[in-house]
This record gives sequence, structure tokens and C-alpha cells, in this order.
Amino acid sequence: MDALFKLDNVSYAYPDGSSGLDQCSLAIRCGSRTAVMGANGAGKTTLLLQLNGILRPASGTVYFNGVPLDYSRSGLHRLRSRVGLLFQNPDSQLLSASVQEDVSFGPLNLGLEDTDVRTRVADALQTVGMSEYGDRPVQALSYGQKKRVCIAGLLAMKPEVLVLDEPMSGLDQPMQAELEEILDTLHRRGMTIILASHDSGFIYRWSDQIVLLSNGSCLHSFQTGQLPDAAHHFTAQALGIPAVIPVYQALVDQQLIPAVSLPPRSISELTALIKQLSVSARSI
Amino acid sequence: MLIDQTAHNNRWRQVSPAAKAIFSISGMIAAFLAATPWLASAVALFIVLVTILGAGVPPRRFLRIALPPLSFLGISALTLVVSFNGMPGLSNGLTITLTASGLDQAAHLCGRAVASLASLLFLALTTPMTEIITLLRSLKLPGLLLDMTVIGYRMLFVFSDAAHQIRTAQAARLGYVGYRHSLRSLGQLIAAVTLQVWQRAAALDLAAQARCSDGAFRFLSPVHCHAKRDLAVSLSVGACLITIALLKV
Repeated sequence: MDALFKLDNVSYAYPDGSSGLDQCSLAIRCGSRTAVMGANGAGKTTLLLQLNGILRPASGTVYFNGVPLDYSRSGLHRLRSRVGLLFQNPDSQLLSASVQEDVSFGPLNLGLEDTDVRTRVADALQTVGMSEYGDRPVQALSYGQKKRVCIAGLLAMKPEVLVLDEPMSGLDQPMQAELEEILDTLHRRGMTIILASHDSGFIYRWSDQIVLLSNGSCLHSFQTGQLPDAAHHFTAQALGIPAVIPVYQALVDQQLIPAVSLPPRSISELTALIKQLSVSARSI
Repeated sequence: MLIDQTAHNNRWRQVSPAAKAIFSISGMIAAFLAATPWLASAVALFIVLVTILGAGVPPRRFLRIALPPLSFLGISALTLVVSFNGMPGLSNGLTITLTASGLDQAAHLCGRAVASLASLLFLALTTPMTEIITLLRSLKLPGLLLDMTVIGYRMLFVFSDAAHQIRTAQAARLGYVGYRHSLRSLGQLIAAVTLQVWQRAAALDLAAQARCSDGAFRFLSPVHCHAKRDLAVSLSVGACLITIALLKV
């Protein structure tokens, strides 16, 4: 089993006494699209901060590639150069008022040469579709554009893993679609993507593994395809069931469409399926 | 904010910041060396024309930005021109005098100040703050000072945004109806923004750590394609400006 991250009974409590994680154990596959889900305050952010070594478990161990995390200065430097972390609020991540400068911050910290950094910055901005914004001031960008600059700042460090905290929050529908496309591109390039969200529709469509958190403990971890069977866990955590699941179920139950081996993951997939079935029915 | 917008959207945005800084500094030197107020005013006029015609800063906007410092200058010039003499024991008590030397002094001061202001505004309106910081970095100013400037400048926008949002939220709940309410809301606004400053600072620190920061800020400086040519032009124009200022008219 090629687990990229493994958490073994990790507990963490914040200095003010509030609990972050409680005996949390889970594994995240290399090359997966993992979604960390849970209600507000379930410990999603705390979990993600553990993966980048920002927070250190009070008890338990975090393994990266089978090795326990090394919290020394050089160990953290190595970890953070391989694991990029996107915070929820872009304004608390952007350090410089110039887009190009901010994106260059990470790669320069890796000790790379200026020319190398310059190409990395250009590539990263291109990947997130912000090439022509290189010398714009950060304050003139929209929320979604700031988020993309933040992602470019991580990509310029060429990480193997991207950890994103609520990347879709605050974005309108078209911007969410664009970000989803960017994530797809990155995943195709072989990047492991771990993100926190409570948008079950997006998660069902996009992810291949779901980790469900509740009150700081890992309640359940399963393949996204099993979500219809794990639906009761979702409703118990006050998370919505993706609309496509009950609709598809009802259609199958009423024998309006036959059950397929790979159930549709989104409404558009379902409508495509219905169209395809009705076309083949008519041609008979 | 108006200055910042202009700095990012003008015709000379791509001109090397070093060249613009040299022109601005020679303008200031010329302002101080100018023998007569007329010469100083000529220097000021020249720089204003360069800013408006060369860099394409809209005249109306230029005036709006220059107006506050100019009104300050006007007030201080008035105090130089007019002097009050309060003679105890005299029946009329207070006399207001206008002296020739005062007028002369005021004219000198105004000429110099206006020319210096024009030079400073030229730099501020054509060069974004980030590029000025990069320039200072290449001049080997202490890194700590520059890091603080970078963060300070970035935070300016984050906090004005936060303060604006809180203020709007307060106004929406009638927080600024009447003097007493306004004072109270203002107090709460200051308290809330202070807290946010604290949290944002902590969040920024975390974000920097997550990107392998070791405490020092390193950024890539932008490339300017005609830096050498720009520098040569600005050096020669600056030298002319200083020579003109030295003329005995």
C-alpha cells in the first residue's frame, strides 16, 4: 500500500484548549484526489496544517512516504518544499503587493538561481491563467484572482503534493469551474491533491477518496464511489448528499433507467446518461 | 490609493525605476540650487509638464493629488508674509505688517517647495511602490527595513479593506447616527481592527513558513528592457535641469 501520508492516532489541542484533532488515524494514497470533509470545526484545517508541519501533533505520528515527519529546521524545509499548502484566505497568504514578486517568494526560499526562478514564476502564472497579471498590484485583483496567484506561488516551488484549505469558498460558479480545471491539469501532471471542503456536489464529482472528520476524529475513510452507501455518515455530519445520488436512485428504482456499473457522479453526467439511453431506446 | 492607481497605469510604467528616481532627485537638487523663485517655478513647471505630457498622468488627477500639500504650503507662506506685532501699552494693541523681506522669503520658499513637490510627485505617480522598494534593495538598504516596508505597504490595503468592511457593517446597523453613536462605533472599529492586525500578522507568518521562509524576504526584481537607455536619458535631462537652475538670470 503506497500511502503518501499516514496519520497514526494523531491528537492536537490548540493553546486555548479547544480540541483540533482527537486520535485521528488515516492514510492518503500517492496520486490521489483526496477530499477532507466535515462540518465547520470538525478539524479539517488542523489536519491540513499537520501535513505541512505547521502544527505538530501533541501525541501520535504523521508519516510522509513511510517516514515520520522530521520537525527540525532542515527537515521542515525539505517537507515544505515537497508539500504546498494553500490557506483559505488569500489575503493572509500574499506577502508582496506585486504578483510576480509574491510568486517568486517560495522558489527563492528554495535557494534557486534567479534565471531558474524567473522561468518557474512564468510557468506557474501560465498554469493558473494569470500570465498577463504578472506586474499587476495584488490589491487590484479580485478574490478569485488572488487565490490563483496563491496557487501559482505554490506551483513555482514544484511540490509533489498540493494541500488546499477550502479552495472553492468565496468563488462564484465560473471561477469554481476554472479552479476545478486547474486542479485537473495539476492532477494529470502527477500531483497528489488533498483539499478540505464541505461542498459534497463538487467532492462527489471530483475526488477519488473521501476522509470524513467529526469533532477532530477520523470517522470514516472511503473511495468516493462508495458515497451512496456511506450517505448516512454524511447526513449525520450535517453534510448534504449530492443531488445526483437520490435522483439517480429514484430513476433506477422506478425502472426508468437501468442501473449502470459506474453511477453518474454529477447532474451533467446523469443527463448525458439519460440522453444516451433514450437515443438507444428509440433506435431499437 | 489614487497615487497607487496612477503609478500602475501610466505611459512610463515600463521605464526603469532607477532612471525615474534620478530624474526626480535631480529635480529636487535643481529646486534647491535655483537662484530665483522664477527659476524654481520654471523647474517645477517643466517637471509637471513632463509628468502630464510625458508619463500621461491626467492633469485633473494630478491637480487633485497636488492640492492638499499645496494648501499646506499656502498657509505656511501666509505666516511668512504677514507678521503680527503685539505692542503692550499701545492703544491699537495689535498691528499686522507686510514686509518686503517677508514676501521675498515666502516667494523663495514657495518656489523651492513647489519644485520639490513636483519632483516627488513625478516619482510617486510614475513608479509603483514595489519597484521603488526593489530599487532601494539594489542600493543595499538594510534588509530588515525593506521587509518592513514591503509588509507595511501590503498591509495598508488589507487593513483599509478590513476597516472599510467593519465601518460599512456598523453604518448598516445605524452605528454612525449622531455624535455619541459615532464615537462609540469608532472605538469599536479601532478595537476590531487592532484584533485583526494581530490575527493577520500571525496568519501571514504561518503562510510564509509554509513556503519555506527562514525569516528574510527574498523577491524577484522585474526586468526593464531599456534600463541603460532610460538611465542615460534621465541623467542628461537631470544635468540640464540642474544647469538651468544655476543660471544667473
